Amino acid sequence: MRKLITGIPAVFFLFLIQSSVLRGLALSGAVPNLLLILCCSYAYMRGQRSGIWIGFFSGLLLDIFLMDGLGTYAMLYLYIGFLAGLTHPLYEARGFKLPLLCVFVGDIALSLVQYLIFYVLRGDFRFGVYLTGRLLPELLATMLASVAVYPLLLWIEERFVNIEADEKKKQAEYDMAALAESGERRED
Amino acid sequence: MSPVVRKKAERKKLPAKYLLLILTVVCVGMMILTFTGGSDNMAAQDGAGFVVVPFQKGISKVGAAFVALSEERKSMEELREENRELQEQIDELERENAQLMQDHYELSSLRELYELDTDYSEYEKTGAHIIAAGNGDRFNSLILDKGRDDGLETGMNVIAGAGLVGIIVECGKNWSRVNTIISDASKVSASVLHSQDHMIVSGDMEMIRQGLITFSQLSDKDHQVQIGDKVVTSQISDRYLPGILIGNIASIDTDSNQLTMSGQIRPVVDFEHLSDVLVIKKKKVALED
Repeated sequence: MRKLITGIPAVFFLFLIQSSVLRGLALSGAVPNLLLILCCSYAYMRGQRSGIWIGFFSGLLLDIFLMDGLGTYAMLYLYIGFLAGLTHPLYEARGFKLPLLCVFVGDIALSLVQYLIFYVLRGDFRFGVYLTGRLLPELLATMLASVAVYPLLLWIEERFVNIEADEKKKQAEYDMAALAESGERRED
Repeated sequence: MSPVVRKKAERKKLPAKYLLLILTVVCVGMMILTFTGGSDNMAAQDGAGFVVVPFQKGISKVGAAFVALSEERKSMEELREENRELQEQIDELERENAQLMQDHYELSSLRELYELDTDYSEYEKTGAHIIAAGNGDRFNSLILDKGRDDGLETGMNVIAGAGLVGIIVECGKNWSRVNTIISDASKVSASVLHSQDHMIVSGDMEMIRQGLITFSQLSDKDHQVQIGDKVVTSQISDRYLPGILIGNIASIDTDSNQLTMSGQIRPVVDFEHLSDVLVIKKKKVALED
C-alpha cells in the first residue's frame, strides 16, 4: 500500500517535470529521462515486479501524450524495469553505483531502440549524427539528473516506505546487542 | 507458525516473469488495436488528460513567471541596444509598409475582379498555450491546453506570429498534440513565394542544431530562386492551408541528378521560445467543400 502511495505520484510528478518544467531543454535534445531513472531506481529498491509496473505506467503515459498509438514505450520501459529488477537482491547494500549503472545501460539501450524504430525504419542511417546530437546529450543529462534524483527516491523509500524492514533491522540489532550483553554477564 | 503463513502469502503474488508476459501481451494488443486503427485510444487520452493537463497548465504558468523574472533582469545596456535595433527596424518597416499599402489597394481591386478568396489572415483562429513538449528525441511535438471541447480537431494548422508551427495530430478532450515542422518525421509541401516552384520541407536532426530545416526536390530550371527567398505552404498540399509563411531560404545546393535542388530554410518561428500559438480552425480538406 505504501509502495502504491509513493509509486503512482512519483510517476506523475516526474512526467510533469520532464514534459513541462524542463520543456525549454527539448530543442537542444538534452532533457533528462526522469521516468527511466524512476523505473530503474524502483526496480533496484523494490524488485522486478515494481520495476515492471512502474515501467509499464511510465511508458503508457509517454505513449498517450507523445505517440500516435499505444504500447511502444510501455513495452520498452516494462522490459527495462524487469531487467533492472535483476539487481534487487543486491539492494541490501544500499549502494549507489548499481542503480546508476542500470540507468546508464538502460538509457543507451532505450536510445538505440529509438534509433532503430524512429530513424532506421524511416531510412535515416546517420548514426553519427544521432549519437552526438541525441544519444550522448541525453545520456549526460540523464546521468546528472540521476545523481540528484536517486538519493531522493532512496531517502523517501527508507524514510516512509521501508519502515518495517528498518524497524526489523533495528530490532535485530537490539536483540543482538542484548544477547551479547547477557552473554557477557553470564561470563561474569 | 508464522513462517508458514508468510510463505503462503508470498505465493499468492504472481511471479515477475508471468507478470512480464501478461503485460507484454497487453502492450502488443494495444499496439495492434491503436496502430492499425481498429480502435482509437480516445478513452486513454481523455483519462490521462483529465489527470495530467491541469497540473501541466499550472506548471507552465509558473514557468512563464520565471521567464518573465529573468527577462526583467536584462541590463539597461542590453535594453538600450535592443531599443535602438528595434527603432531601426520600425523605420524600415514603415517604409516597407507604405509600399505595401500601395500594393494592397491594387491587390484588393484585382481580387475583386477575380473574386478570389482571402488569405489565411482572415481564417477563424483560436489562441492556445503550450503546456508541455516531447523530449528531444525525434518528437519535437508540443502539447496545447485546448482540445475537442474548444473545437479543435486533428489536421488543423498551427501558427505563431506570422509563421507555420505545425499541425495537430492528436486531439484529446482538453489537450492536443502538435507535430512541429522541425520534427524529423514532418514533411510539408511548400513553394517559393515569388516563383511558385514546389519543394518538400522536412525537419532534420542534424540541421535543427543550427536552427535550420531542410528542403528538397525543388525544381528550378531558370535559377530564379535565391538565398533569402520566402517559402510558404503550397497550394497542392493536402494538409496545410496555402500561403502560410514557413521561412527564408538559407542555402541552396544542386542535387547530384542536376535536376532538382535541396538546401536549408531558416524558419520564421522561434521554436526555442514558443509559449503561445494560434490554431486555424479551418482545415484544408474542409476548404474544398
